[in-house]
Amino acid sequence: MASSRQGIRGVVITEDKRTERFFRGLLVALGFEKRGFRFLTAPSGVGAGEAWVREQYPTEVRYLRSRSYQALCVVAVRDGDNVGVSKRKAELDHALTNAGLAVRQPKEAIATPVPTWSIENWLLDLLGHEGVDEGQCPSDAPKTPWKRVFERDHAADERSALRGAVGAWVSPRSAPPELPSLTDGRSEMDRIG
Amino acid sequence: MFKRIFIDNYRCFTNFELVPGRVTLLLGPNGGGKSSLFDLLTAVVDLTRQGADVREVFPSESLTRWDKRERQRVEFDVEGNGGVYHYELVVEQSAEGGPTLIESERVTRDGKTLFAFHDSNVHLHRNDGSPGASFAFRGTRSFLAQIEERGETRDLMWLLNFLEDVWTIRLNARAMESGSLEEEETLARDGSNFASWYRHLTQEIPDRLQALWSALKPVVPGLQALKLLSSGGKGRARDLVAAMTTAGSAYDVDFDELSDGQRALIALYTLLEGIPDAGCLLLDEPEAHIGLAEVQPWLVELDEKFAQSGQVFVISHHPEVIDYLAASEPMMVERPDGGPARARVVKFDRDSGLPASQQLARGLSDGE
Repeated sequence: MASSRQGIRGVVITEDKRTERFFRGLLVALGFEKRGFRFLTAPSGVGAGEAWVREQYPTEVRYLRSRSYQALCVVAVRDGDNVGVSKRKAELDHALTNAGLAVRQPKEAIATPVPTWSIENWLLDLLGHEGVDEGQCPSDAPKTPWKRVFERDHAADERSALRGAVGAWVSPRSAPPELPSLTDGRSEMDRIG
Repeated sequence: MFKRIFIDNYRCFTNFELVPGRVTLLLGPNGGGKSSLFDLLTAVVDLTRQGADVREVFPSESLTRWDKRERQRVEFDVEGNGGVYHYELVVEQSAEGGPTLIESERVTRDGKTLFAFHDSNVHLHRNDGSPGASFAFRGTRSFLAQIEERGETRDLMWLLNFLEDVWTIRLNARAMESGSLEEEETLARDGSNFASWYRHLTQEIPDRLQALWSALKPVVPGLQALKLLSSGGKGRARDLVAAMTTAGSAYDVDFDELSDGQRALIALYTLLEGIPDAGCLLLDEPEAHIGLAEVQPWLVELDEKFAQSGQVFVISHHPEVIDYLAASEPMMVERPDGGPARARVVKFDRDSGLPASQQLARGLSDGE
């Protein structure tokens, strides 16, 4: 599997650096060649990162479809926030139709993972943190976003945390069940090769 | 890492303050002060580590032209070694051709004085801040350059070692020659001594150079390794040679026969392996010479190197660099109305959907 993935080229569109770094590591762990990918990450600033990803998405899908004879793929990652996986995916389909393009087809090498609430929920879940859900904050600490929990526990060695999370993706633990958006994300990544 | 830099009365800087991140992209118009910021930090490193004469690194021409004051001030805070260091330097530029002298210099760690120089006297302090020896010293140079590693200077030496690992790099591929007379521990600012620095690395980090060759194979097609060969005469002179293969045929090429872009790429990738892990890189237009498709792959490696340790400042006007690093900590250094330089955080408009470079080109980016 790894060798066939090394010829695949693609683009990864993300909302922030942490998400980019996680998916960069994940692609390598899944057997893809890092140099084959371009990483488009929303600039820091004001406004929604997910909106920036949504704006880039049609351009990349159009390019992919124009090069159908090449092994190309698109990975567009947007946080689920309070919207959730299915609505986020529908928004991307809508972005395509607004740009005069057909919605994503089942066999297309286009992955749209939706970490919900955000990438930190995934990372904590992958790292075996207990009680992680897809909400913004832990139920027993309603004013402490999961993002802050991740930074509190892992910011000092984020590189190791990302490596551990990637390792848990490729060698999933047997129990307990993982976040639904994470399970969906795995099937999304299966689409690209 | 640097947490704050303050400069007053140096070139275009008047009460200038910069609060950088771990990976800081420095943006701004030509003449905004970005390269002067690097020059200032380089001057402090030369003063405190190389023992440079203060007149060489703070010449009278470095005074802010529209400012009549004769004192120049530099401060910075550095986080590390379990605390926060504060460094202060005041340079007195005498009017009418008199001597340029260090008026005062001070290092503290978490508020405890580790070193002080004022009134032509050096005051050494122990790690706990208690006073040690005091003696007269002329302020034409920094006594910090003479501090040696001892038990009592352990905490002070941490900062001095940190400063030694602040490297300013603006590569000039044309200046990178094959010959090396001896090993050199650091890469020159223009990369001209790359052969001698690489020679040093072969002794210090041979394992990491093996990894470097793996990384470089797709970057410089045909390149197998770099070799140091005897120059033929007596002595330790060596020539840096690129071992290449094409269609199964192996051959050697002198390093300076490689293209400008190939030399720059090799130097940039080697830099990521060769700079100490906690080092601070000041990169001025690193993308110069290299092909468009190779810019982002190298930036990705830069991001992996500095995501968690060390620190890097990058000056660039190149869209590839701007668009990739704009997701880190972009800072604008500019001179509103041609006055003193100011630094501000750049806040791009993500709702616009435009790449950061396009927002800059259209003058859309805001800041605080």
